[in-house]
Amino acid sequence: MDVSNIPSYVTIPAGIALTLFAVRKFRERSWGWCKSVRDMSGKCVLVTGASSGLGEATVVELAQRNARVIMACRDEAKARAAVERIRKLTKSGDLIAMHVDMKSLGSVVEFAKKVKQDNENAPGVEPRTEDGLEILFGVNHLAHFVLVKELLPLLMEESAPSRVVVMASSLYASGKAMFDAEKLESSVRRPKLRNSLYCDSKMANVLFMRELARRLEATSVNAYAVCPGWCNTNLFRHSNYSIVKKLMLAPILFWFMRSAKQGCQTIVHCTTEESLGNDSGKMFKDVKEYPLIPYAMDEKLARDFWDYTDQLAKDLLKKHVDYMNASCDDSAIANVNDSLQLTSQDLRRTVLVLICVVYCRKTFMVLLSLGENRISFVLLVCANLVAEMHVTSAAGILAWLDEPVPELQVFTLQKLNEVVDEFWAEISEHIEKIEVLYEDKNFSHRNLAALVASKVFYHLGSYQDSLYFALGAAGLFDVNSSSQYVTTIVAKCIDHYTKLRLVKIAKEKKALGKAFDDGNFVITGQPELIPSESVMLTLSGLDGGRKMDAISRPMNPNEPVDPRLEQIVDRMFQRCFDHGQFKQALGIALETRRMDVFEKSILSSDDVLGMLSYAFKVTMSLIDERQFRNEVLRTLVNLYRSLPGNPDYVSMSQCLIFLDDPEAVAELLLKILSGASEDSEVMAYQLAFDLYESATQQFLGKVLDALRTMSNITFKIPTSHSTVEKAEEKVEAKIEEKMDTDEANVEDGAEPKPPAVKSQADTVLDDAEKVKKTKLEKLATILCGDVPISLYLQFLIKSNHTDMMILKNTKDQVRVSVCHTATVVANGFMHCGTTSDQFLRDNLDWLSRANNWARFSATASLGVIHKGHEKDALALMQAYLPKESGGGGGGTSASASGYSEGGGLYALGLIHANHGAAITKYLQESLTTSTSPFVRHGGCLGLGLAAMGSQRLDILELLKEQLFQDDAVTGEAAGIAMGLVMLGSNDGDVVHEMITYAQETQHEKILRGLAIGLAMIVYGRLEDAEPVIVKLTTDKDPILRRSGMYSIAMAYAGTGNNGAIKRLLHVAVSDVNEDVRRAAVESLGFLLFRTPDQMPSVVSLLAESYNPHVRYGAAMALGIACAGTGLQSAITLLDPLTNDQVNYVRQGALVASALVLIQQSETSNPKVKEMRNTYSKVLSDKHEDVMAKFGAILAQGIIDAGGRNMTVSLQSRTGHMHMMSVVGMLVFTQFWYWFPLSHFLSLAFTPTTIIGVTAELKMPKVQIRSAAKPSLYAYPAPLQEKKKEEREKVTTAVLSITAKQNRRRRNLADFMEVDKEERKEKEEKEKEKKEREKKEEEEREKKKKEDEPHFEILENPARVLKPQLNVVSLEGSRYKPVKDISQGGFVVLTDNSPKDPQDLVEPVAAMGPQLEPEGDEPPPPQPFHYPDD
Amino acid sequence: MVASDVEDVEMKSVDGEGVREAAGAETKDADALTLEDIREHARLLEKSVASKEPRFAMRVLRTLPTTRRRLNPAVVRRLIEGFYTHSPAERDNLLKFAGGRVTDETNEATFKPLRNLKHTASPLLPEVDVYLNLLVLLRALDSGDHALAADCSDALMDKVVSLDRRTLDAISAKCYFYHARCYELTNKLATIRNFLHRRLRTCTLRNDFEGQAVLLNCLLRNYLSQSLYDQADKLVSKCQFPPSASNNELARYMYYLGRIKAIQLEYSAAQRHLTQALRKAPQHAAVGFKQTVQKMLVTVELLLGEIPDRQTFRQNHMRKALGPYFELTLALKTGNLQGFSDTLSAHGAKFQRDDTYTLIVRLHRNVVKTAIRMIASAYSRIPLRDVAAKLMLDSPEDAEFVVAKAIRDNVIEAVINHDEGYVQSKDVQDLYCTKEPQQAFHHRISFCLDIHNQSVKALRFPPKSYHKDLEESAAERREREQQDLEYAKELAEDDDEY
Repeated sequence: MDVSNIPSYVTIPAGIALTLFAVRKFRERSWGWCKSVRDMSGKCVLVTGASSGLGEATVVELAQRNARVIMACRDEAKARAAVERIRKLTKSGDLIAMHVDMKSLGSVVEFAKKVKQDNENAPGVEPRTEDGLEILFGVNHLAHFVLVKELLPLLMEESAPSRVVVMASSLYASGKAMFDAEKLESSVRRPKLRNSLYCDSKMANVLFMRELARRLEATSVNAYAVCPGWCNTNLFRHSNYSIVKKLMLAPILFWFMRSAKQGCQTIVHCTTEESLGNDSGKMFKDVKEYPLIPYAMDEKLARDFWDYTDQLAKDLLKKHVDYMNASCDDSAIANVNDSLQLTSQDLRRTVLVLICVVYCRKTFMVLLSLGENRISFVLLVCANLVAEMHVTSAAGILAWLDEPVPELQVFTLQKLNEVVDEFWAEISEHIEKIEVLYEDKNFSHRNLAALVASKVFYHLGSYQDSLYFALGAAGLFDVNSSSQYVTTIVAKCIDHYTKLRLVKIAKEKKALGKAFDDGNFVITGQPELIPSESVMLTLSGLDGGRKMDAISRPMNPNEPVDPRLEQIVDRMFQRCFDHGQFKQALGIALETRRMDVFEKSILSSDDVLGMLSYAFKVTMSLIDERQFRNEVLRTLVNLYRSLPGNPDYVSMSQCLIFLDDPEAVAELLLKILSGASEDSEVMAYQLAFDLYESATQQFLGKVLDALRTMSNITFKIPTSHSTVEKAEEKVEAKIEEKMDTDEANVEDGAEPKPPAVKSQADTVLDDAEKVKKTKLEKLATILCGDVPISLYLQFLIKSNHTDMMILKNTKDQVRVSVCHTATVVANGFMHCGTTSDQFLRDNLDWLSRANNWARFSATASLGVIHKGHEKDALALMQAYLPKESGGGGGGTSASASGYSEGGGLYALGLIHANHGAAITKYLQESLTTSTSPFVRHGGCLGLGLAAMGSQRLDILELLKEQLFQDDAVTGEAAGIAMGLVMLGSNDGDVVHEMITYAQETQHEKILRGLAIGLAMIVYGRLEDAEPVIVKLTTDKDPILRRSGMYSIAMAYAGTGNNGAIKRLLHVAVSDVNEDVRRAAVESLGFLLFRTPDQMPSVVSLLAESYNPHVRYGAAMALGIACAGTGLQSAITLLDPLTNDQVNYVRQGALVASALVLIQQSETSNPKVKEMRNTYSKVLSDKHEDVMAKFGAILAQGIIDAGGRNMTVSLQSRTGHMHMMSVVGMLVFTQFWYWFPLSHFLSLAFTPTTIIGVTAELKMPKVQIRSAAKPSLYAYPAPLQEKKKEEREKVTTAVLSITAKQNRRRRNLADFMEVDKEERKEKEEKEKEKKEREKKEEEEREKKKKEDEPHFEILENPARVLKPQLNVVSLEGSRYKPVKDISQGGFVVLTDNSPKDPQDLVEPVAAMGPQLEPEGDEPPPPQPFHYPDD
Repeated sequence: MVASDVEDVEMKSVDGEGVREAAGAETKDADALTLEDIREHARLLEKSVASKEPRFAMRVLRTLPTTRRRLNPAVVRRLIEGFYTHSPAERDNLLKFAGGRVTDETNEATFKPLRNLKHTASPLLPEVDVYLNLLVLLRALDSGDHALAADCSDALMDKVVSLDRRTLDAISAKCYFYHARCYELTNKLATIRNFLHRRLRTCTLRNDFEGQAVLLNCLLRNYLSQSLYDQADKLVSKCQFPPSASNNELARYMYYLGRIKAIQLEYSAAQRHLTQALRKAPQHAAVGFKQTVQKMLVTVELLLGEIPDRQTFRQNHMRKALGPYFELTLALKTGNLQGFSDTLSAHGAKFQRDDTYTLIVRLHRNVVKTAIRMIASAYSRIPLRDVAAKLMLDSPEDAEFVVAKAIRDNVIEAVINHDEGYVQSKDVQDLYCTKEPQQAFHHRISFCLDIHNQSVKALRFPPKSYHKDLEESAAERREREQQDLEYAKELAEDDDEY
């Protein structure tokens, strides 16, 4: 291609362009490039005017070298934009955008306003600085002069070596130093001078640099001046060229001006290059040194100019004093002290404000130390300005904390409070400063400091500290706010308060306890109850000693709990009340032991009755500490009493039982009885029934006594038949008789008048008294247990569903004497309370195999069978009881051994358990007269049972006497009996005596008896038992340690006390003695019976222990805690244990499974059937061990207890601990050592029934509707006799060879075929028949299934299983229950039509249904004798 | 999660759309299947709540990536219509976010309540509600309309915040993640920082470990994306990463830690964290994440003066991504300053995208050092002029300065002869006389021990296994075994979560 072809109008411009481009490239080469690659991390560079142009480019370069760059910019929006731009280019370095205006030395306030009004145009519109100075001089020189001067101390002291790089220009050469401020002012009006002004300002820069360098000669601070060259930045905006000119200049600019990046190279060079070293005072251009003109080198000139400038700055700042005064009332500084007296120095501070923003804390300190302390408001204004910027770091705010200016600190805290949620991590590094502020007593806003600190600690997860400071924040901590912070802290607050209260109360109690404790046991330590140590630990763990002073102060019992804490808690209570959350308030009140709030929460609620019952429930189920519980109950009773209208007597009486206050109960009963209506009478009876079910014998006795003394009426108490003769009389007859005579007496005294006639006061009184007396007597029969026991007995006799087949099968398979005993015991359980001793009668021969203790046991089992059958007790047992005549010498032949006599006495005890007023005398006598240890053994047990919990001292003495004979057999029983008699008394003397004797005696048997006895003495005493427990558990003797375990079980039974559980678990895995470990695990069951569903998880690991004793214990614990629940998880744990390798573990598992599955119907719990099969399998297995068989037999007895009408539960119907059951269960577990003790389980059996009773204490015929399918709660089907049939059905196996032979034979002899066919036909027919039958059966079953109704009607004493209780209701309208029927047990009914004749349930005779009704009243059956005797 | 992975997923979803339009009938079946699966998910969630077993909910969440891929507007619409039968207001609210056109025929024809007929009027279980919301959010994200997605996630957050249920923890953790993601895509990260802080506090109080981990990671990502390293570092130092959080979250956390440490010049700590991140990451998937970590790791190793294994760059999925870094390594290894600056200028943009640019700029010094070391080992004596030429410095004076600095930093052992202008290297010491080998050995051993310990810690034991055999029936065992199989399968898919 030919060049000439191209037209010249193309080539020429192209040529020019090329040339120019070449020029540009050439120039660029000479401009130089900073080669320093120094890593600037850790260095801090302040760049003014950093939001654009050269400044920005410099920042980029520096940031890339990891420097920390403070960008001083005038316009915050622009600054932010610049930061974003730079961030795109580089991620390194630390950028801090700060607001500084180099144009204004004066009012920042004014300026802020202006900036807001006119962000963009400010420089162009106003070409003067606000101080009236020409802008170039002001910005370029004066502002930087002030800035650098103020920063000097920092540069010199803290950050040396450092550099000051002054932006000059090569144009400086044509400038002059200007000393005339007037001239400066006037020069504004001469725009043409502008460029020279620029030169002047640059000259000023250079002079300043020179003087600075000179002044800093001795230091490591260096100063340089820099000429960036002609750069295309918006500095150009200051040039006054017209637009046209600018347009014309544009291409030139393009080719000759440098870009910002190129321009900043020299600056960066001077900033970073390490080799510059001592070149202070020099000027640089194009990354090279640039010689200065001599004018600029003039030292004197430079010094003069420095002084001049300094003076000028001061003068200028002074000018604005008035202005500043005027703007004081600005809203931003409203909170500044009015007394501020501005001095001229304040203005100087205005400049410093700029520096404040730039972090120069040091400078502040210097200035403040000069005594100029009135700068606060300026700082404040400045701070406001900055804080309004969008912050990405709280560092800027935090820096002000160091200023000892209160106003600024307050402001800072306010700001911090706003941003703490986001910047807590940063603030937490300066937390000590805030803490110091809080601790400064003179600081006006301590609360605010505390609030901020609290929030920070909250975010750090240190709640204790947070709480401490929240308390310090006082009013600022807004309890009513719903923020998470507040709710968390309030929760912690309540926790803490609770802890403090507990400590306080524990200490008070301890002080009290010491004053009263004069017994043998000094309270050595109650680790669970005095958490002070642990609280102290947690506190000290959280923070050092400083806070300890404040927080731990309330630990001191002499001083009250921190009032601030209390205040917050009170506020919380108030809030609860305001919002109607009374239950919450009640709960917290109980936790914090605030009885005042407790009462208030009940009384001020809308539903007082509901709250009361809720409070009662909570108190009973959740409060572990006995003393406190009593206090609460006392309050509750008072509340009940004060209630208007009809109070809830049922709950009230329950409270009183727990308070052990028989007088109050009696008073209550009397009060109800004296009520006019029949309802009240019925209510009294109902109460009496409830009392009987849940109170001890002793308590009831006291109630009766109190009733007698209070009513001033001498009514007969039916249990006066304590002698033998009287016992034989029939109770009912007696009552009737007595009543008759009483009535007769009354009639004698005064003619009976209808109550309508009220003329004579006396007669009316008498009449009323008479009525009252009958009522009282009825009440007494209930209270002393006669009526309830006989009613239960009626129920049990009536609905006896024992499956004799089971016993028969067992009997047939039994070979060993142990199993023999077990079968007898199981028979007792099965017929418990049914009075049916049919099995024993049928198998007298078999029974006679029992010898010695087996005989003792067999005789005693009669007591189980006749449990509660008190009126015929003596007659029944006549044959076995020691003859009074011959008893003294131990005379008669075979029975002289006394086994059956002993058994007889034991049986009497079992019959009269916990209700033995009638029989104790007899037992006492037989005990004193007999000499045989076996008789005395039985006698002791019997006496203990009969006088259970009576705490009668005469009996105790008698037993002690037996104990001290030091006879092993007698002693064991005496030990247990003492425990039974003194049940729950926690009598220090007795305990002491028993322990001492236990430590002395040589006989292990006695020791064992005492061990159980001791445990029973502390029954239900909770922390009161602690001294005994400590003493026992630390004993050397393993049996006493075991006793300690049982003591824990008894003392804390049903509370689920964590401390107790912990202790037991610890022993369970650490004691050296197997028995102790086993006992510890077993005891867990007693603690947790209220929460059976927790039990499996507690022992799940123990059940897999390598130690068989622990496994056994785990099984028993499950059985005890989950008794009668049928809990699936418990069974899954027990199931594998029934196949354990160790025989006794299998035994325990079998017994426990029976306890769990008792009274579970097969439909609702399929496991029942499996387990029953397991039992029979274990029994029939030839290779099975005797131990396991023993367990299986017992299990069979337990699961069908009381004719399948009884269950085991350690809780009474009302949800309280059932004393009899707990005691029975405890002694039952001792069958491990002594088989006869297994009879004690009968105490734990309770009938599952609802018995409706009329006001006459008779059972009417009432129907109860159960809204569930009948099969769901049906009795299990009785066993079929099927073994033989099965054997027939088995078809003979045909071997293939025989089949072949047959075939061959068939082929050979055809004639036989006819016969065979016939046979075949027959067979087929039979088959068809069978099939048809089968089908029919199936259909019938189907029909049954289809037809099964959805409800069931039960007759009055109805068997109602526990889960069934929820679906029962009373049928018919005649009777109405006094209390909720779904609680079961006795329900007294009010008769709506009392006139109509009542249809009563026929009483059934004892001894079960097998007795043919011969006459009207069958005579008591003849006692049987063992044929051998 | 790293941007690239998300892009991956999104690209797939776009592809999916194209395919779907091509074959209508097939997709209908696929849609029906998806719907059926989600119904099954809802059932699993209900089961999880009823039995208080978080593992069922975990199963649902583990399949979230797969489910996300299968979502399309039609499915989402039908989901909403099928499930929100109890509240038309809520339904319409969600439909806004569902996207896609409203075609009446599909609406009428395919509408069928996805819930049990008995319960159509009762409100949804919160867990199911939130899960469905999350699916809608995912769809909104995939549709590319980030503003819409942000709105949707705002609504979802309102719901999550108002509920306080432990059974919800796992699901809400996912929700937080996608919430943060939405705001990242809309470039409004700064606005949710406060929200994330608040939720983090709540999760800490409620012992919601998964939520805690996710939120912590979201916050770190938030800070790092705006280069607020200081803030991030302070947060990390004041918070404890929940030990029971999932491995994936831990890997992310380690990665962020590594980045923070690298910027703060703590290279060895950074290397440790990054290595761990790499190790904790899923084995077969999460390629994007691993690439990103590897890039950072290579950079940090270079800064430490170590040369990464060549093997690192050869792996299939790494080769392309690590190309520039490979060049960088080569330059560093040979001390080739020219090569270094060439690479820097060639790939600067890419490095900036990878957030490694800042670190790589710092490498310059290392290059110079290596170069000097090589010169020193090659020449026992060399004029400074030649050094300057080799290092491409302007003058011998510069070279002298650089060499002097190297000598002071113990990079080389040499003496400068200033007068005659040369560098005289000293004899190389026998390395085996020093403690160097011992230290290297120690380093390796401790590394091995560390791996061992960490793998032991990472072993998972089934809870309560000791009586597992005891309490299950045959049917239960069958069910469990089947679940185990499924679980194994899901574990294989687990990697998709990235």
